[in-house]
Amino acid sequence: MLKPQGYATIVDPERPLTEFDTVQCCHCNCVIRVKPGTASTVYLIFDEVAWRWIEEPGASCWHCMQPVCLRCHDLGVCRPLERQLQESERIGRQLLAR
Amino acid sequence: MGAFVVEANRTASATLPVGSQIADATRPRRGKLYDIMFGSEASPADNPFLWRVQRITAAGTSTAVTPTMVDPGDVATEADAGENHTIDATATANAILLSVPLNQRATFRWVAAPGSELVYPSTASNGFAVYTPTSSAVAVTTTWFVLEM
Repeated sequence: MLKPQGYATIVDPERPLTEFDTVQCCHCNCVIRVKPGTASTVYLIFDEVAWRWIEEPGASCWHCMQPVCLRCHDLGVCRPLERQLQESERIGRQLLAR
Repeated sequence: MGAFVVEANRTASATLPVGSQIADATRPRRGKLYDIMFGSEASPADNPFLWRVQRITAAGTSTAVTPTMVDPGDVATEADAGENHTIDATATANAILLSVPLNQRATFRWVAAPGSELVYPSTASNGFAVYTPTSSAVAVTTTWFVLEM
């Protein structure tokens, strides 16, 4: 994909090298595996119960104009990562100042 | 500001982290994880593993690991790292940054593009931990690179 936000490899001695691009959720910063050739419109989500990868439609924040994970998409509010970090740091500074 | 690397080892546990990385309690600085590797150095076997990188707000109890600066000329990092936890870190619910299923005999590596690193805030004792919620009790290792701001 154009401009991937991450790149991952899995080296298994009994299988061919597995490579895939990832994108970042612009709200929670989590790493999302994307299906090749879909321009990050299809996410590959790991189902821990069935123990397999499943395809899910991707999501994006129309304020940030960046991909978001499905959990942040379900929340339905725009909470940019930088804002969350700054809020956490502000609270931390207040606690340290006491 | 400099980059450092941490290697953490333990016998995999389904409840305790392999390793953790937090901002210092009194001199916190923001950190950006840009490269991480998971694997097992045990005898090759076909056991399922699930590796997770999750945000934490306290490191728990662990064996201290001294981060190694990538450039020896850089000032030593303020961040604190640990491995082989005996008391779990305080993980933030639903704040899973990376979740990877992996065969025991396989090795995984993820590298961030510039500007897309996993970031922890400059808040005292905030950081991330690496868990193996699905695992077999074998020796595992994780190595990560962090750029401290």
